[in-house]
Amino acid sequence: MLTRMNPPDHVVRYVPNRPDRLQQEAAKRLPFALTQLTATSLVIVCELDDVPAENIRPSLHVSITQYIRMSDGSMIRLDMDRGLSSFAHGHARPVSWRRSPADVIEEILTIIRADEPDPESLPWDEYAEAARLRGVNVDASAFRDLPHTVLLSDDLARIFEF
Amino acid sequence: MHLNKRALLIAATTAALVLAGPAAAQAQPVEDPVSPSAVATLVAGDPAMEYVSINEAEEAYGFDARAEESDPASSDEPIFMPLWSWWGCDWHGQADYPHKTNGEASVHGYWVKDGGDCPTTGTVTAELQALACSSLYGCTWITQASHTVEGVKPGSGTGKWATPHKRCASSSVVGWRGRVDTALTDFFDPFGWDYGVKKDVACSPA
Repeated sequence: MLTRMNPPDHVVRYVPNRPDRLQQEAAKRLPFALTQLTATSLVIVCELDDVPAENIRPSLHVSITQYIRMSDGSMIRLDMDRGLSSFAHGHARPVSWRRSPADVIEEILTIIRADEPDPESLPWDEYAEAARLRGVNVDASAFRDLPHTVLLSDDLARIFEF
Repeated sequence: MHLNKRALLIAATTAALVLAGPAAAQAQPVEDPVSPSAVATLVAGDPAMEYVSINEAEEAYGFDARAEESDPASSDEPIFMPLWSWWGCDWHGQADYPHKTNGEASVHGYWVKDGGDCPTTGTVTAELQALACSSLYGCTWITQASHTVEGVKPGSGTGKWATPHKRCASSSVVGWRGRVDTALTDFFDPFGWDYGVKKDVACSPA
């Protein structure tokens, strides 16, 4: 029921639209306390990179930066940068880099898994070590249970013609 | 009449460039007679040579990592490209960025079919190079490892890629790059090296 009120200014009290979200909103303003956070996922960010001057043919270069996402949404970069270069051969001009999202993501994951004895496995031990060096204690077995996400930049989405 | 001769000359020149292919059309005079591979030999032979990061090469040695530095074509002769190879097959040479795993620097090179009527297999050669500097000869890229796989099908993954590896002597940060050559089986191959992105890796070659 709505009630019309005209109280004097000093008794007005402002309240959140959703009181149940108060705690969550306030948490974003807390100091960053890494030790109080837990790892929630692995995030692989792919972006368009610069073209080396040596190449005569059309080429496309994609940087791959890997992060661990924490429970407050913060992302901490693991020192495990990778990347992929493609060089176009043939007659087609202009060159089309058209690929399906599934193909691109599969190739990115294949590159990341390239040095693993099991080609289906991401480098969990290496992730755990890289995270530990960044102050995040997650062992390899815990990493295996985390979901992973591949994010492609707007530039790449346009170039791959998604 | 003069105009007609000029038009004929332009047409003939254009036709010659088309027949000679893009490599001839883009051929530039080589101003520096010392090739990068010759410089690499000199730098490698300097006892004071050191492997350095890209930033250190630029600041301490005046190296321009963004400048073109590739071996010139082995011959100045025009490359005549058969017409069937122009529209017969489109493919991509692929290489990942240099990286360090289990105490070794490495890259992976492979090829993927893009379209057209391509051979079913190809030969892929990948080389792993580190940035070396000498106070006498400057900086250059020195090949640390090379790997060739013959008769491989297109695509990535074990058994399809060339993987040169080089053991790290220490975790000092050094500039690395990979280059890849893809030669499809029984297919015209004047193409030479494709160069990947230069990256600093915490690995000084052993």
